[in-house]
Amino acid sequence: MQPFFEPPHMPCEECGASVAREERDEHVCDQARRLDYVMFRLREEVEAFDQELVDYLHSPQGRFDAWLAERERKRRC
Amino acid sequence: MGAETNKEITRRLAEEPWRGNMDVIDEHVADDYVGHDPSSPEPLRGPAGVKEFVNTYRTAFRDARITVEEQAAEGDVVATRWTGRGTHEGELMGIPPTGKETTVSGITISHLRNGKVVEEWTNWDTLGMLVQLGAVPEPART
Repeated sequence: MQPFFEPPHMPCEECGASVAREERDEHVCDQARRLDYVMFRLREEVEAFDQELVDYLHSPQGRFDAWLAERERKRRC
Repeated sequence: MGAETNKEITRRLAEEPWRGNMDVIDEHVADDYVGHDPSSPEPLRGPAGVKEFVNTYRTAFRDARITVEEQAAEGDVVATRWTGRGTHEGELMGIPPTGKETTVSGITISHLRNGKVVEEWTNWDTLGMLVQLGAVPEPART
């Protein structure tokens, strides 16, 4: 039985593309679009990570770790 | 103006602002224009009202496009059936960006006078858009 109201298109849960209901079973996600969609949905997390990384690199521990990593890099060269 | 000319005017007005051509609004919307749209609590008034409406949706759906599917005209009245598509990348009606692509259909009845649109009555699938964006629960199948 059809519900009272049902949009003829719905976004794909995996890639966000608008898919007609009758084409839902045949829909194949475009992988580039899927990646864009996942990254878009994670954008706040990514931005937060960027800020956390900057904060860490400016902290005493981060600065020491960076100094240590640089020393290790030079040692290996 | 003939029916075919009126159809062309309303087709341009429906499609072109979404491609960034806002000049078409100044060209074809009368100063005393009144637009009725279910998503707008107050009528849109004049070219400025139409531009504000388009800008609101273009901010939320940067790639928004309207495609005219079918038109019928009689005298100075044009009926246009259209499809709108766009990816939700900006806040709309308090809904944070979802990245989801939406497709909606609508019908606009346009009244023209001397080559300018003076009044429009639009009904479009506002509820369908809200369901597609996840702002309203999708009805369960029984």
